[in-house]
Amino acid sequence: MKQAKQSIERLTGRPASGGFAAGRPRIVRNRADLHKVATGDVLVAPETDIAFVPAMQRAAAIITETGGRFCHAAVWARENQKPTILQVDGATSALDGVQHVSIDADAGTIEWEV
Amino acid sequence: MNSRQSMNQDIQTFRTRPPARHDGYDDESSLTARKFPLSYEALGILDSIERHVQRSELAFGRQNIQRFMSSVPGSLFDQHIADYRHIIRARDWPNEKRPTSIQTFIQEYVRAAAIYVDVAFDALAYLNGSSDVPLEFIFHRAEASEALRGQFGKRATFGIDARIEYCAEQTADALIDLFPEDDVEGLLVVIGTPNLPHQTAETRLLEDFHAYVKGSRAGTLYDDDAARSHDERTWRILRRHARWSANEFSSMLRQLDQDELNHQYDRCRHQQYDQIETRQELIRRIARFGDSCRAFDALKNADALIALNYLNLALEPSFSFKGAPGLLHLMTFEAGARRGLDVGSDADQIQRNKWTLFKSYNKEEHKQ
Repeated sequence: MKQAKQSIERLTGRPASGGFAAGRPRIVRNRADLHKVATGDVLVAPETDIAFVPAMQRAAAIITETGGRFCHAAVWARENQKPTILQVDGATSALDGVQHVSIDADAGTIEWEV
Repeated sequence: MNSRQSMNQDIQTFRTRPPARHDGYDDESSLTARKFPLSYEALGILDSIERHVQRSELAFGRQNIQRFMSSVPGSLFDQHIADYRHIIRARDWPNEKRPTSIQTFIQEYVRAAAIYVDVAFDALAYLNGSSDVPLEFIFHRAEASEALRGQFGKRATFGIDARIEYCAEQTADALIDLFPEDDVEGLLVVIGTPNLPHQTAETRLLEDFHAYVKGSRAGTLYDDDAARSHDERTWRILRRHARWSANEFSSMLRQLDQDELNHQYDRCRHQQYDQIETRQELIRRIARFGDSCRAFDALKNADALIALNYLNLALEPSFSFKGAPGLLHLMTFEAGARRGLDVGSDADQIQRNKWTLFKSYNKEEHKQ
């Protein structure tokens, strides 16, 4: 029986805090979306603020579309050893509906099968 | 006493009281404090701003504050930061180019931060109905206060973000002369993640809640009345992280995974000490270059980088536009908008008002 060939999609960004993680991406565009992030999910947001901290705590990894190497998300992630990638253009739209991603936060890559 | 015990004692000293400059720092493990006076001073700055907020809370009355905050709609808390960002980004604020020394910048930044807190309490008095100043007065005062905050903030040419980037570049330039080029970015990250005692507000949130949970009597953890108590363990969280709102406090507590909170605290403490040792070792390596100008430049700029980064990451979320003072500024702007007042509409007036506010600051009232 032939199996459909699966392709791998990839996004890249700036590594902020290294490590590997995998999980379901949850798009957080505002505070009302925070409750969607379960333990082990991957938090994906345009940017973060202090209200995000409980969700960041639960998440296996964090992806943001903005932020420099010393932004809140980056420094917090290093303090707390959370794999994090910044400046991932279009992450919130590209990962919307994706079921599972693999993250290499040392290389700054997010991959998923389609 | 070995170096880890000595370092642990240094950390404990930082955490339990405002550090006095050069307070017993003579041995190898305290090299950071001797080489890094600005970042050492930054700890005391945050403490002094927090004590200023505490004094203002007690003067206003904590019950009065909680009563007022419980009347603020939850939607305003939800939208606060997004709405405030919109106000900041949708207008051309008059920022002057002010290329001062780092030391002067820090003094002025902190002055603007203290003024922002003062104006927030003026706004609270107006919004609470306990002040009879006209709306136009408090509106323009809040507008000037925001303009002053912005003068030293993210979007200003010589504001804190620009200063941080400059210090990072200068540190990197100096490190390239001392270490392999491929290592420099990693070294910069080590320096820029100073961890204890210069933690981010976000990590302090987890630590403060960990302390709160640990100290709570069994069965009372989710008791709503606990968030309305007046003990300092509760108020530390209300002041720093929950914008004085018992509902915000309870909401955050419920969202936090308790097991993860305990495990993360233990795991992170261990990681934090490792990171601190890594940083200490880096500083020793740089210092071994002795009288090299580049070593001096690296340490001087690293010191400034840690100090500025700490103020940006710890002071801003708790006591600036993202914290309770910011929420009160926003509420004042919205009250003005309902009467036809437009924030940022008269740049010349804002410019005059902000420097008048800056000059009128009474430092004596804010001494430790």
